Amino acid sequence: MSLNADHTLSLAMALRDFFSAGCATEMADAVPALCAGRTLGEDEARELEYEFNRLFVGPQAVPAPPFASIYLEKEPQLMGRSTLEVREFYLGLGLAVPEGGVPDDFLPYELDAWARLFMVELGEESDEARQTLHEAREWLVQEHMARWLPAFLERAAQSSPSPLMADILKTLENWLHAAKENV
Amino acid sequence: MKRFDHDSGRRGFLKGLLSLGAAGALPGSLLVPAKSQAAPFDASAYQVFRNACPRNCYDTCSIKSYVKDGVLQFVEGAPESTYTKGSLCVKGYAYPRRIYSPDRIKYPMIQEGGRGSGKWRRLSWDEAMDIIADKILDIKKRDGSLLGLGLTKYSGQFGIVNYGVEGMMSSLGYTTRFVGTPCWPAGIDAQNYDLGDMWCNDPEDMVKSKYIIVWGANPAWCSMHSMKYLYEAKRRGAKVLVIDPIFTQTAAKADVFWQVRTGADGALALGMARHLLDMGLVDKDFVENHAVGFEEFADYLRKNVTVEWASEVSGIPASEIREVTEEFAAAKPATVWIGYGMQRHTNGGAMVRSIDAFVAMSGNIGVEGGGARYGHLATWGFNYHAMVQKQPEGSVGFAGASGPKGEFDFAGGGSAKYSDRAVNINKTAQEILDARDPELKMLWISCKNPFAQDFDRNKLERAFKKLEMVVSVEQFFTETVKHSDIVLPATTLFEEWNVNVSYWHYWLSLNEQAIKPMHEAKSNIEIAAALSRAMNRKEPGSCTFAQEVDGKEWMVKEFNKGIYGLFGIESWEDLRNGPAKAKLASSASWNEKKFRTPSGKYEFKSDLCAKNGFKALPEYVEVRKATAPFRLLTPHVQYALHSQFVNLDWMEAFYPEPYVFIHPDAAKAKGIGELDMVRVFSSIGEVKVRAKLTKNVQKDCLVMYEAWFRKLDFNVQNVVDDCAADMGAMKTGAPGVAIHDQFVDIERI
Repeated sequence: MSLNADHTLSLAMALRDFFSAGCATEMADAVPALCAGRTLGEDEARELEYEFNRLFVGPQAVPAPPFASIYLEKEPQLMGRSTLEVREFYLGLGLAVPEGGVPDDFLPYELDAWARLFMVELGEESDEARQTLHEAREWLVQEHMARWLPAFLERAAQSSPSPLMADILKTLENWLHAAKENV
Repeated sequence: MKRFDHDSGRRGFLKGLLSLGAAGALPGSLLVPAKSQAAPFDASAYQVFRNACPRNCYDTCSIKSYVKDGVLQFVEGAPESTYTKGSLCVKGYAYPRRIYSPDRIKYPMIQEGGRGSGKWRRLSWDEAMDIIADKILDIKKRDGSLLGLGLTKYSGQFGIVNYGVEGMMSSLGYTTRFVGTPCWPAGIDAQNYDLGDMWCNDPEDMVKSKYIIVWGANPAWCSMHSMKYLYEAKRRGAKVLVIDPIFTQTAAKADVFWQVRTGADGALALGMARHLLDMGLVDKDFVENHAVGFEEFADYLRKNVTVEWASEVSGIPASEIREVTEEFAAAKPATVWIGYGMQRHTNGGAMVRSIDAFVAMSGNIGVEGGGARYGHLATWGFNYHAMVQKQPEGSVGFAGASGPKGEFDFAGGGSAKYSDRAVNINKTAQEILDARDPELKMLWISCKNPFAQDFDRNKLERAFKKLEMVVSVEQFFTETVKHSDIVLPATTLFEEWNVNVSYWHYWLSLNEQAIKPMHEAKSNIEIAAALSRAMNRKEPGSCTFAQEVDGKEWMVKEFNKGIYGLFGIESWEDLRNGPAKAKLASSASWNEKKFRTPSGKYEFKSDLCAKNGFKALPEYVEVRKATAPFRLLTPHVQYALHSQFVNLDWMEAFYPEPYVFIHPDAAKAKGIGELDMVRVFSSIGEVKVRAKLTKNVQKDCLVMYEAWFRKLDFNVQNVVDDCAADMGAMKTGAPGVAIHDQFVDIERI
């Protein structure tokens, strides 16, 4: 499936908002952009929140932690070498993750960085500058996100996602495909 | 595959990005402008921090932690401590796996739709504290007191500042406290009757021993740093005897192993005492000048004890009892290490008293390289600033005498009109079920995993149904968290400030915050401060705990001149250079032979003991009678400390599943083969597990090592009941628990 640039950008932001959501309302707000305009009732949103926490947050051990280093390290852990790689990458952009204990390779942060790069690239007129931005985005997608997101998606898919969650995961998969094609 | 290598050859695109406005605004963006120019990583730039392992373990290791880029990279034992001596145990080395485990609890969360529903919702810290504060105020309004709020806390995370949990409860009012200890109380009381305190020699002086008996302890697994002293003593010619119902790793390293019948250690010690008497090997100076009641004890031995009888009860041949006794008496100094395992019996305190008496008669008390070693609290004289908090004005509590609140309660008793309500930590389930006027409505759990450590798990499940709210402060999703309404993420030792000492060795270790807390974890005192803010917002004056705390400042407030003097340091900051050891006049406890008993002497005959309902003399007491064909032992495993560590991936690699260990003859009689799935059961519950056949266990014994596996529902407490040990109430507030007097049957499934 092929998506145009604007759509890929808005999907990245909606996915970012969904995976960084801390409550049902924030999740529900992100769903229309991810599932063809679908809106959720209060109960549906609450059930989605429970499921989201079961798959990605906890408190129990989660089947699909949304952190790159879980999939990229020889021995899965948070704050691994791959986490620091991403930190260095953000620093190159003049960016950092906010204060707090969330690892730099948290999926929403990576989507955020990708979206920023793409947005700037789309508005940039100089070929040379576009090339630089493109290279950075290429690294982020090809050398980093594409190396862990399939495993993340696979683990989530194997953990009995609801049809709604499966749709959202499919959207992430589609986005990844489009993001790879776009570079 | 291209790597974005931060150590060398940084990719070209980064140079141009900053000027291109990549950091520019994006709607709803999460990332923020970096505070400083991208600084290149320096591979050599490790920061070194001092930490102290806060597990309930003899060794209480001094740790050196190496942090790079804000990430804990690895840990090692502090080389400055002659005890830790540069090495950690298999559990300690796994700490980075614990800090950075994806399984850690990350946020405050609430379980909706009932406990066990698995429907968890995230809460902000403020929301969580509001819900909890509302409940506390509701209880106070309904009952007129906070006795409906209970605290169960034990040794899951030691560190003096963590007594702020008890402080938090006091700062709310008078509450219900689960007091006592499942660990070592019978032995503590026994040593108090005999010696007037529990005070052991410096373990490092075991190198001077000429004969070492390790009696019911397994240091090869549970105090590995002590093993080097056993080895050195052996190298210098000492003999080592291990007495244990299980052929342990420590036994494998000994010269002699006695596989004693469980619970018969007291009879064995009395038989050895009788033989000392018969052979004229009693230290006359000690028993005449430094002890009371020896003649009565000798009389008891002559009338009631023979070596043959001791042999029959214990299963150890009489000839060996005689031989070892004579060797022990001849080898000065000689010592007995009394393990905690051997006092977890209905006759545990009496057995420890018998062993103490044997060591005392042999003249090895107050002697370097000697001693009846059990434990000590001689280095624990901190301020307990976090622990000692004042109840709010007008608080109502339990009217009546306040008992001790456990062996680590250094707050001292006051003469207040009210006190907390003390209930028995070893009967958690029964106490919750029985609590009246008022009933227990809310339970706060910290530094403890009741579903893994408290007894009669099925009863505990019933008891929890009575509670209106359960709050757990935890690092991982244990069975206890599953049975909670609210879970609060707790910091690990690397994420908080603390100070630690041991109940075995004499070292003092600083615990620095080495990394920022992961996720939204908070320390116990930060949680207390957050709760205080919520309480005072809702009802000014309802909580006296500080509303802002600085972990480092609070750690410093635990130090005093006594501690500085004892350890010979000018300031706590000296500990940044390494741990410090107490300046001891002698490595021997009781070296002046001034005992803290009522008589000031060693008491073979203790009137205090008699007054408390036991025998005045260390007489033989029979162990709990069997109620099923097999005795069940549930000791520690090498890879775990109670329910901690086995949930980590590195441990799973070594120790992926639990087993029940059974003697091949017993297995044959039951039709059980190697690795067969079996059911271990008693009247209170069952455990399904695979069997391993081994002659390391006795024919009438089964062994299951306690542990919590994240992927299995294995729990030994399904079949361990809450039968009390004899002693413990005097010094710890509740008697111990007869963990090793459990009886089960087994069948193949």
